[in-house]
Order: sequence, then C-alpha cells, then structure tokens
Amino acid sequence: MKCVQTIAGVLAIVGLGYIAGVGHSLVRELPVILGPASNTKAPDIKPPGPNTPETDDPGIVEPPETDPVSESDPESIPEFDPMLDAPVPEGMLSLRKAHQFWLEGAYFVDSRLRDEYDEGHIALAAYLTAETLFTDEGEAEMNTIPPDATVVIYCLGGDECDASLNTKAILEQFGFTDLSIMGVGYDEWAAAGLPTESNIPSNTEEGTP
Amino acid sequence: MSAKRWAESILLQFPMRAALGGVFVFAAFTKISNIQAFAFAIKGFKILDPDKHGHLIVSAAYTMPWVEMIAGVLLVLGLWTRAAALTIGLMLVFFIAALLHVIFDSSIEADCSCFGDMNIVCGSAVGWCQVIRDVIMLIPVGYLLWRGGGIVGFDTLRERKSGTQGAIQGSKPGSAVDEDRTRG
Repeated sequence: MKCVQTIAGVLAIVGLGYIAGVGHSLVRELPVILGPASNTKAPDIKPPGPNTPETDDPGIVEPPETDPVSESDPESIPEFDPMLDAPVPEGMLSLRKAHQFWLEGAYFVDSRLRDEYDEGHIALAAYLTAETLFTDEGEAEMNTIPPDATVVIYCLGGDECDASLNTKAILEQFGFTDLSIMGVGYDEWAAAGLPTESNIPSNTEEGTP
Repeated sequence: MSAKRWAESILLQFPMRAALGGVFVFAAFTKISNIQAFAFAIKGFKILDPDKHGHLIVSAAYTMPWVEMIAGVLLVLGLWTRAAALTIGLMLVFFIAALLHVIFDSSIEADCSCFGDMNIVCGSAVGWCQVIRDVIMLIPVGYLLWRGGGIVGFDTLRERKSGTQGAIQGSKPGSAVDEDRTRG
C-alpha cells in the first residue's frame, strides 16, 4: 500500500512540475534551439581566412586600419619573440597568431570577469561570458557578430581558461562556426604592447552611438 | 515515540532531507532563472536530436527544474517524503545515465549545467566527478526511502491527523471509543 502511495506521489510531483513548467512557458519567451548540436571536440583552428568585417555591419569589433587605440605596427614585431611565440595549450592560438587574427579583422570576445574587462581589454573586444550570453544585453552584443565570422575568445589564459571554453561552447550552440581560443591571457597581450583599451574613460567597442 | 526515533529523525533524517532538498531547490532555481541556458545544456548532452525533437528539449527544459523544485521543497518540508525522495532518486539515476552517455561518447563535450552557471564540487565539463557526486546523493535518497522522513516533518502531522480521522470515521458515532478520542 505504501509503495503504491509513493508511486502515486511521484506521479503527482511530476504532474505538478509539468503544470508549473507549462505555466512558466506561458509567461516567458520559449528558448531557442538553434541548429544541430555542435559542441563536439573539434578544436580545429582554421588559418586566418579572408574574414574582414563588413563595413556596413553595425557590429562591435572592427579592427580598422585607422584604429585610434591601436599602438602596434605589424612591421615592428620581430620575427621571433619569446613572448609572442610562447608555447600554448594544444589547439589554442599563440599570441602572435591571435594578433595576426586581430589585424585581419577577427572578432575578439572577452570572457573574464566584468571588472577585469572594464579595467582593460583587447581593443574592440566584446564582452560575452556564459553568464551574460543569455541576458538581453549579451544577446544584443552577440547578434552584432556574424555567425560565420572568425571569433577569438580569451580570458586569463593558461589553466584558468575555463571561461573561454564555456563561452566557446555556448557560442557553438548559437551557431558560430569559426571559434578559436587564445592560449595566453590578456595580461600577456598587454605586456607585449599589443592594442588594448579600457572602459573606464569611454566604451568604444559597443557600437552604440 | 522513542528517544531513538527522535535522535534518528533529528540527527539523520532531517539533515539529509534539508541538504538533499536544499541542493535540488538551489539547482532548480539556477535553471529556472535561465531556461535558455538549460535548454542549450540539454541539447549539448545530445540525447535528443534538436532538429527532430527540439520540442522535447524545450519541454524538458521547463519541466525538469520545476519537478526538482517541487520535490526539493517537499523533501525539506517532510511532506510526501518517500515520494519526493523517489522522484529525486529517479532523476539522479537519469542524470547519471546522461552523464555516462557523454563520458563514454568521446565526440561529445558537454557542460553539466547541474547548477546553472555555477560549479559546486565539480567543474563545468562533464566527467566522473559529477557521476560520483550523484551516486553520493543517492545514499540519503535510499536511506529516506527505507526509513521515511522521520518525526520532524509534515508527514508526521498528516499521518497523525489522518489516523485520528480514520479512527473516528471507523468507529460508530456515539461509541465509547469515539467519545474517548474526542475527549482526548
């Protein structure tokens, strides 16, 4: 008898949960299930392609030739540099490669903490993390990046790059196809004298008027 | 009620209920607050084909957290304790099966999203840590199924009330037994 009561209770709980879920779905926009699941282990880092951002794209990340925050000149970078060519985890971009991507117009995504981003980030990088991607602000920011664009995600680098992996996994689920992770962190990028900017004086990468 | 039952209830059953129920309520809250992320997490497990069964993913994304929430709350309250424990136990078994599916299929790299964006004890990537965590949580589930929720809980009140009513209804009106009970 107790067994029957318990099973009946389980069914009641599941039924109540279903009703609550249906009620919840009525008051909230349905989640979007975009395209096929694509979060497979395939960290294929494609070579920098002809991925120049469209000029009419109101997007956020367009490393232009006339970038006011750019401090670097590709010609001035030496051929072999221990900092630029520092070893990185397999499947991730070295600093030199990441900078090359930046120069070629790849979109950069910061996945560190908001404070760290505000303090300083790679010039024109967007702020997208697993936490913000599902907020209206995050989605709006993400929608400014074409899904087939080359996107380079970075965080603190090294072993602490879980945030980049999370952001990458979520962006893959949103249908982004050309995602790479920078194997070194923001500090290395800044230490190498590559272009950075800070949100403290002004926010230049949001694309908002 | 014996002192032994009280001790068991206070020292074992109630802490187990509070901890297990609390974990599930918290996990449910993190998922309910970001259904989109949870839907992607379910999709990432690749149990259901999003092209063919996208509606089931959406349905599960809404239902599962609420089942977790209700079962967790009932467990903490000690109401329908065995049913709540069995619900949580069945969910844990399902979670373990899903985790093993991801672990043994090397082509899948999924985020657990067990607690939304938060990671408790284990990291975000699916691994044996989550399986062990779920197996450990099955221990209090088994104990609560076996021993019930204990004295400290609404089940005790419910049983006492229904027992009294049943006894009253079962006895003839005006009988000595009935009078004794109503007096008492």
